Amino acid sequence: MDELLAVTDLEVGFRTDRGLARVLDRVNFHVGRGEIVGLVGESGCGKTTLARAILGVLPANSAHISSGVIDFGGRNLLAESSWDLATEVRGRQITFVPQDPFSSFNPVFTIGAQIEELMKWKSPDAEPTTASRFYPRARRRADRARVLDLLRTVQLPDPEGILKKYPHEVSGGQRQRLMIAMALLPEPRLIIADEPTTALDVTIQAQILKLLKRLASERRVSVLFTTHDLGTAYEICDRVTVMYAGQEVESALSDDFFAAPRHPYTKRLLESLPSRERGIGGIPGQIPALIDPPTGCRFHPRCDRTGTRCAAVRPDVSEVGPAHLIRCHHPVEAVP
Amino acid sequence: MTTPSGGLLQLEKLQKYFPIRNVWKRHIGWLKAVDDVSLTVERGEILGIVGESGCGKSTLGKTVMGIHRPTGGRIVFKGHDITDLKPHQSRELRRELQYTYQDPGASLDPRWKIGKLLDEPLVIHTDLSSARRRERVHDILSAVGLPEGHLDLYPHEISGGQQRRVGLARILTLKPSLVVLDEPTSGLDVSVQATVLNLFLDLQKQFDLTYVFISHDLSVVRMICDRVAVMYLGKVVELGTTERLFGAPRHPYTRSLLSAIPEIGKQRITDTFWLEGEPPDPGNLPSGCRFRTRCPLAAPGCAAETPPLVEHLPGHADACLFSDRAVPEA
Repeated sequence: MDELLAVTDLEVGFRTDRGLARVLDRVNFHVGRGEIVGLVGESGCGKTTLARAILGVLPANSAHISSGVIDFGGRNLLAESSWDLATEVRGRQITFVPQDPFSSFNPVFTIGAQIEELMKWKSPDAEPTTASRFYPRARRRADRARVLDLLRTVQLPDPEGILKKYPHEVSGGQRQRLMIAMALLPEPRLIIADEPTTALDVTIQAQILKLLKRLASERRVSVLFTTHDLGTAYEICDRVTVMYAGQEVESALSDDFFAAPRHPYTKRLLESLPSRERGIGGIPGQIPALIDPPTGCRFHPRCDRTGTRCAAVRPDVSEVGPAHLIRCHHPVEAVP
Repeated sequence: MTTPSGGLLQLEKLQKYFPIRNVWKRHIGWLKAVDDVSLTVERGEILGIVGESGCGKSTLGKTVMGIHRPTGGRIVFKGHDITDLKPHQSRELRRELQYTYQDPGASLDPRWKIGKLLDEPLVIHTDLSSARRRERVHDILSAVGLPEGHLDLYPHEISGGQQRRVGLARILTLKPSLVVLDEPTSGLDVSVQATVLNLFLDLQKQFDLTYVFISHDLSVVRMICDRVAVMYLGKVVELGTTERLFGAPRHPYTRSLLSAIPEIGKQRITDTFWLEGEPPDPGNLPSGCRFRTRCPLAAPGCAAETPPLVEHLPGHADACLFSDRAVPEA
């Protein structure tokens, strides 16, 4: 597939009191045009850091990008000036749907005022370079029509009424619909959704997933969907990449991935999901501290297939099937 | 739906209403968090209470524990009515009835070491000597699978899964008979969650425990509960054995809830899910059946009166007038 985003050998560390935590260890990752890619992993695996690195919003005083390339539609985002990133890419070509929609709204302004502010700067009609405080009336009127149209598309009841409300006056599910609408308004090429359904109830989650999947395919937007929940990833992703302790360990098309995972960690993770037939799996041990990560394969201390090379040599990415990549010396046998 | 034989814990028409006040503190209505809930918890079982946020499942647990005073109804534990006991009267019974908080990280005192945290309940509830207490603490620590060295650590120094183990150890030192687990696996990664669930099951056998397992995670509930009660806006809408409830759910709300769980390898919910809308404001409930505003089976009769929880099948009750009908395809 035609690549929209390609991350190559990205290495990010965080300076802490106890030393440098190597949160991303030469990660490779890509998103095709119109593709929904799930970035799956447990807490602390680096999925949010990767999403933030792509957006260019890592904390400047502690995060340190030591090497790597983030190629987005032919330009290396790490080499761009922060001005160009802020005006042309972030919020315009790449938008963001947060995990917690409540803390992403300003509580003292109405939702309408906040969406208008967004459209003033990031509307597809707005010139990125001539940013000024002036908001032409004609464009404002066109933008408002566009906003109302989109709010109807995300199935919000009474769009005009909602624009006059304050964020605390609408429910969690509606706030997340608003966030999705706001992410779509600038007509981006890539939406980064960081655990967008984690804070929601299951029935609302199902509605939001359905909506996101429909909108992404209708508008041909790529979505990078981070989640810790494999079930959610199964629902909407075309392709899944699993991360463990700062390394991507397996990447495959959704159907292959869930039918026959090849990396031992992924397999154990899938077996940890509660299921009546199988009993409860679980993985012994804990996620390693990233200040002093295990040598070689970062999963080897918890792995049941460890060989001699695992602790010594960092496994390279190898292709085990069509578009099926894993990082392991002793992969699980393929299911015939 | 109370049985005269009497289980370990019986709730009869339990109510917990919170007053709603306007800006001038004037009372303008009631939020019916728990409304006429009748349940029996049998000895040795794991009863799951599931529902979405705001359905009253945590309030139910806290009311049973005496953290909230019930507005009406009765709580009978081991044959004693404990609804209106004064704190000093209930101390003996409370020992046997324990509660684990949703977030153990926040419920453990950050300035106390694990050893002291585990010792405290014994100091309050027993008159054991300090040597005997230390013995009990050591025993319980190994039962929940924590190393001895953890006694000298502070709560923030251990992981979330371990904090849960400490929270559990803290109440098990008193040898309770009923434990209310409030969202015991929320916030845990799946690989850790699995080990914590196994721990619950092991401890249940070892200490002969009865659990009330409050959770919004249906796949976990399905895994470990014997019976399940589904709550919607303060009411129990369906109650039955896990097998029957998950295999052949009857109440339309239960059916929608189950059809919202992603299941790997099955049909995708993004293609099949049919429920629209969101729960109504709990302070301003619809008349009659509370689910009727979202229900695909809703008929005019649903608005007139609240359908009672009736045993349509032996051991399986639901509160719906039309639970025999199929849900129309979306």
